[in-house]
Amino acid sequence: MTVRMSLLGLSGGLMLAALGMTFLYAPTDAVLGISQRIFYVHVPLALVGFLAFAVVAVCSIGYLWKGSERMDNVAYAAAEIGVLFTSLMLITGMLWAKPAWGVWWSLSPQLTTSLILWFLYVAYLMLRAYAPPGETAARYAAVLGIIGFIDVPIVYMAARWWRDLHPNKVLGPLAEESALEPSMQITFLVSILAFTALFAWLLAERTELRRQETQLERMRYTYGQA
Amino acid sequence: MARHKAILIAALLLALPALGAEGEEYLPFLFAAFAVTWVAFFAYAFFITRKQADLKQEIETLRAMQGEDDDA
Repeated sequence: MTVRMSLLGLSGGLMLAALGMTFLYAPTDAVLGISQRIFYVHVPLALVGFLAFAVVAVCSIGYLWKGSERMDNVAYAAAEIGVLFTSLMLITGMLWAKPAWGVWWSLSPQLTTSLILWFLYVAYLMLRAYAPPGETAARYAAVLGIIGFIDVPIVYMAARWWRDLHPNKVLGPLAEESALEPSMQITFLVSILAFTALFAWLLAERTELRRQETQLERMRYTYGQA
Repeated sequence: MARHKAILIAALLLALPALGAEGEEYLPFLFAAFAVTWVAFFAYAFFITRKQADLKQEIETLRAMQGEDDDA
């Protein structure tokens, strides 16, 4: 069994566990009601999106330092998957905001900085799509991938630095111990593991696809020259 | 792929009674959040695996063409 197949199996199993726990094990929130269950998909999507952009930044530094094509392929794949996760985070956030706050969107600092993050990495993908293939485009994209990551800690800290509608943090350095009750905490952690495994599988598959794309590009060029 | 979708739908249907009547008016939001997420992931995974298969075939065709040219 290949690593990619193992990752698919792991993410599938964890996702089923996370879904089961979200709907059958975690209690209904006393204040927000059943809409609070969106939390088990919305927050893991946000956190794994941050992880994806961290991978972009690390691999971009690696590419600029060593010039390794593999690093560039992983950065490209992680950026695409990060944009997917962040898009879904914004959509599920809006679907939770309407019942919780009565509005689809608000210009709160955390929402605004999250939207900026999304735009930054959409710009990264547009740069990769429209710039002529080659080292120059990869280098510009790597710089954008590193600069874009500066917004990630800003998104996380936004609720502390400015007045924001978002509740207290449940994970990371700003997390409060009593933010979630134990059964909610376990469900939340299983959801994070499930989305992280899904990210790992998608990253492996997308990196392989990117490798095929560059190989084909090279073969077409060589065949055209011959 | 179809089996995964069926499992997801069955899980959601099984879970609905367990959710209780509290805040039932928000059920469409909950359903939409999970549905959008899963449809997007299945569509993306389908796109990647399909494109991988297409590119693999194209690479093999080009290799064969190059081999024929080398023989000639």
